[in-house]
Amino acid sequence: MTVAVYLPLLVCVVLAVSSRAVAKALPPRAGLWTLTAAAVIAAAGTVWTCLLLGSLLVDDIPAFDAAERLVPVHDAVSLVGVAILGVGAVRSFLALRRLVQARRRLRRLGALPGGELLVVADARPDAFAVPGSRTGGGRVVVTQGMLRALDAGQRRALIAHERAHLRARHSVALALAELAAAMNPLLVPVRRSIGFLCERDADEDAVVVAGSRRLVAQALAAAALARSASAAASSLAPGFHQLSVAERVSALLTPEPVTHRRLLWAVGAMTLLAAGAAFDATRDFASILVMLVAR
Amino acid sequence: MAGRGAARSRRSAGQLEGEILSALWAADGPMTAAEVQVAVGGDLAYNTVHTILTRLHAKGQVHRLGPAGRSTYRPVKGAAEVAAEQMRAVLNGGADRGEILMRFVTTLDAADEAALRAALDAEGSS
Repeated sequence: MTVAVYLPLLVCVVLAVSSRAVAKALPPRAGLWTLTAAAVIAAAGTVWTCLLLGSLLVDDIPAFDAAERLVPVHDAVSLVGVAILGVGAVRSFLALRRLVQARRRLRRLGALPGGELLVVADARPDAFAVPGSRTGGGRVVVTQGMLRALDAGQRRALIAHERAHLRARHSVALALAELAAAMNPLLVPVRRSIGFLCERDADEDAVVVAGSRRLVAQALAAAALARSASAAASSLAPGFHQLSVAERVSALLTPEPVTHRRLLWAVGAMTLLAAGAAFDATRDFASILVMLVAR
Repeated sequence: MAGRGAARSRRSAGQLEGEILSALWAADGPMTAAEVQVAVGGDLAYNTVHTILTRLHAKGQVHRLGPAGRSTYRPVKGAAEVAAEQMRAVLNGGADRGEILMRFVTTLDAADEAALRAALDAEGSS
């Protein structure tokens, strides 16, 4: 149990350290869901680990001396587990509230009359997708400033990209990643990688619709440069930086990006290892509990 | 993924509606169907453009002006101002943080901008 109980944390560390490199090498569609599953399982494993460690504090009752000897976990470690759990719970609550609020505001925006494309009277170039309900729907929101910054082919790429987000239900992966990263801050880089893979996936879908990798790359570049020009001119609050647009552009400018399907299995295997370890630790823990009850 | 990177473009009805509406929005004034066909670019047939404009008009998303056959079209702008307010509420409300928003591009920092220009230059010279 002593080793197994810490394995989910170790997996979080490995995911965090490798996520940036892994994100660039994974096939986007399969990669984003594999990484999302890994993040969720790793976050759940963190909770479980901390619960197990924390519950050992209870064993300080004199009658449980025998159990103490069986479970060589220092009280300080247990306390750290409890602290991580507490911080994670608060962060998760705040993240959940932020998600719900954002979703509510987005839904209000999405409920405005019109078709799938909703044009906004704003000179600053911006564009994003608003997820619909479970049954579908969803809107593509584009400012007038963005439409004027692009030519016809680039607008085609932009619309195809945002529609791809909606069809592939990327909002689900992003919300799960957000919550996992809130529970365990070690997973913040993983969340960023999932965001990057969602963008890459939508870019590749846009290539199919627009018919040219180069065209999508140019659309990204034109939109990003227009956006940064406008940000400089109007002191627009700088948006959150995902893995950079430049990396997406260079992936599009390579004829066929090199991805490694083997990496999917590596991430999957590591996640299963964490889940297995958590299970193993739980079993040991349960047998100790049974022993305690039997005394 | 079979078909990815195919040379031909494949566009659904929803995609085409979006392209035509965005072309009308990007224009300075009303356009005829023929002008829309040019503005959308690519390989769209005139009949397709006309059909979609008619559908957009039926849905109340574009105004049709002038006599049949020589009609011009412009987008219905009613919701755009309201939408701008709503959008600001979304962006100021914290959706900007994290990856909640599925945004086309994020703001560039100086290093990004340099890398982007370099990537495009390298592509242009090859």
